[in-house]
Amino acid sequence: MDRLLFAVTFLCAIGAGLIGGLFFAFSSFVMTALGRVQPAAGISAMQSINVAVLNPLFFAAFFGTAALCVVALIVALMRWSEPGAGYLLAGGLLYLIGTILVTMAGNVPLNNKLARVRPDSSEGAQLWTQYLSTWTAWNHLRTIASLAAAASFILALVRLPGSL
Amino acid sequence: MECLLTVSTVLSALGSGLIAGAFFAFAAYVLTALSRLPAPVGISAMQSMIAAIKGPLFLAVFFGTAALAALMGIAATVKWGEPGALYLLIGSLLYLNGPFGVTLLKNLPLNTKLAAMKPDSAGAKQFWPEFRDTWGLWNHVRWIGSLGAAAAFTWALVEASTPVPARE
Repeated sequence: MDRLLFAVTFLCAIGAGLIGGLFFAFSSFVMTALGRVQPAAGISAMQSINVAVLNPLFFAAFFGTAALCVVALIVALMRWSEPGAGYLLAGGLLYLIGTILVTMAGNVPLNNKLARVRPDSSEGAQLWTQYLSTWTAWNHLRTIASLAAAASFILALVRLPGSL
Repeated sequence: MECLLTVSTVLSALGSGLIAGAFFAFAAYVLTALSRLPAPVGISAMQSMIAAIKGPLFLAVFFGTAALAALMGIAATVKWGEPGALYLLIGSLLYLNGPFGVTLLKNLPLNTKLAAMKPDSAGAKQFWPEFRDTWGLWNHVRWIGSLGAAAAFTWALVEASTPVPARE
């Protein structure tokens, strides 16, 4: 494990922890809060959140961590016999599948559906009930996956003797 | 004992990372999203979040990490001079002063003030931009502090697990 790989693994651990916490906010209180206000207000707040999330700071954290995870994954496979490689592989897979893929396949299609309804329509209110339960279920999954990825990367750092 | 300290340090790092990310969500886009809505809608959404954050899951992580951070500070003084102790202390101070102290001293009073207002009142409409600016500024301090704590705790683990503290 050289210094560059060490730095990549360290940033993967911090990035996965940050993204895990970001989704944790939605799992632990944001969705509950939006579910308690009037449906029209909850829908327009979530629609606004789904537009505002598309910004450089979020993308840097979300996809930057993904890019580093790809590097970690490749190195893990190339140096399979070295200590810590298993944790690197686990961390990379957990983040790329559990967080990125779940977001793309689970949450984003629901966001697109929600973006098309009028907040004060009955169609909107109907979709909102469904959105609150399904989107949040996917969100629990990506929170746990991201947190587990962070834990794996920390273990990878600890397992590597002479990694400093 | 060593094993217990390692587990506690890992949990401190993960807890600090979770709290950093939760506040980062507000810094990166949630507050911006609420500011774009008509003021009463934005205010009522924020008021609802202020009420919902007092749920058991968030509070367990927030205060649990604070308790662990305090323990890490004590462990650092006991093990002073050993590898990792300095970073345990840094992580402890960052978490207790950053997300924990700033929340209690700065964000919480603003939350209490906003929670007492009627979303469609003139007073609330006037206070809302000021709330977002001040609350948002302190929120930057706490997410950066918490992320710094996560990095310090992780670094402490790395140093403590390295057989010979390699300083070139």
